[in-house]
Amino acid sequence: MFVTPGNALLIAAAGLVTGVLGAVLGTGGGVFLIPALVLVLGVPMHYAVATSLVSVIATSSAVASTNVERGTANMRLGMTLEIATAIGAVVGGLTAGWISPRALEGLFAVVLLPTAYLMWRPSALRGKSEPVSDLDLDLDSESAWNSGSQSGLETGAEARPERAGEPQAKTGELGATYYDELEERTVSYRVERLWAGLGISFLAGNLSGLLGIGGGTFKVPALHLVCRVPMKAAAATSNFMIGVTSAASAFLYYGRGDVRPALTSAVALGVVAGSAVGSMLNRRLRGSFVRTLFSVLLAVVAVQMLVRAFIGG
Amino acid sequence: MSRTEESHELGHWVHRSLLAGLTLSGLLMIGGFLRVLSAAEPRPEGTPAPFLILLDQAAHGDGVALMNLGLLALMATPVLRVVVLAAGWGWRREWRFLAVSLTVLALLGISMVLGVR
Repeated sequence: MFVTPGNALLIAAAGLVTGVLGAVLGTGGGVFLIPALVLVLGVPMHYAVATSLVSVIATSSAVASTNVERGTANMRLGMTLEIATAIGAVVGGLTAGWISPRALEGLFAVVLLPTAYLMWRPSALRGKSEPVSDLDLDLDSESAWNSGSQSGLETGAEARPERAGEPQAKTGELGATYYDELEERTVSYRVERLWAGLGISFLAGNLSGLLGIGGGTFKVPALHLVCRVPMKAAAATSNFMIGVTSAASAFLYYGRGDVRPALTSAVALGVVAGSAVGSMLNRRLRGSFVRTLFSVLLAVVAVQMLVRAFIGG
Repeated sequence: MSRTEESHELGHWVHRSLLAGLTLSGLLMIGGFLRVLSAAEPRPEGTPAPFLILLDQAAHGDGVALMNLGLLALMATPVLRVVVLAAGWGWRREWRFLAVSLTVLALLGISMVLGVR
């Protein structure tokens, strides 16, 4: 696709819309950007994946810069998991060049469909879990969605934040403490099942390298449900990790010439502007509305990608 | 200084490094993009020019080279963040996390070496 002054505005607008959706729904935006580029603008799949990876770096860097200042992003845990996620992303980025665009589109759709279902029915993620502690975050509440959290996932599962004022030694080496402004309390937590978290991070990194998404859709539930990190910290830590995950494979796409400068610049600039708008909007939208919108959009996109993968078009 | 205070201070440096990377890449991309659109420069397909040639071309006002440098700056922003964390943890003698960040840095280095000439 050749970028002209006329379609540059359209491309930037697509970036802006996905940036808004990404910020409101709490994802890097890749799950919306790639279908928009492929289905609406006719960009080849490999270029779309590369463009998305670079755009995800932009949104992740912008959001993470705020979260590390607030202290919600757990840098120690994030860096530890980044070992697995970076290995997965490099492997994904290397193998993506050998996979046909149709197969990539089919895989993308297959990944989106269960994600859409989990967004529609967040209770499906709960499974068998331990009793909710009295200090647990109410993940079905408005605050979980409208607090600047970037996860986009509403799980209702049980993290186990400890009581304010408990000794830091109890949080372990990877645990952390942060102040929750909405809840007006300090939350401390330990990290559990690190090896399981590393395994899921590897898979998330691999899918990121293959499909151009940040992988937050998988990392947030892994951190929250498996590692028992409170939702807000899980979302912030996932976002903190997404930049490195995307960068690990973005360089490989760049080297193959899949990162088209004008297309990617237009999209990235639009996405960053959209992220800023979305960050302002997400405090005013109802969580249930956002979740429903997210799942419907994902399902529609997944079906369209499946049709393209199997029938063509 | 408590671990929370140390983390907050390190977080402040990470915040600055991320903003610096975003600002630099944004300026380069906007400059290159406007240059390409206004001059209707040709945009070659295929693999990008080697880094040193890109620098030379950008110095001569080539819009595509400026955009490529902007994209590279954006992709390098998370790398800079890992470098800042490695330096911070090394300064505080947190050897375990220094090793972790150096491992991540090595993985990113492999990707950079394979991707950027």
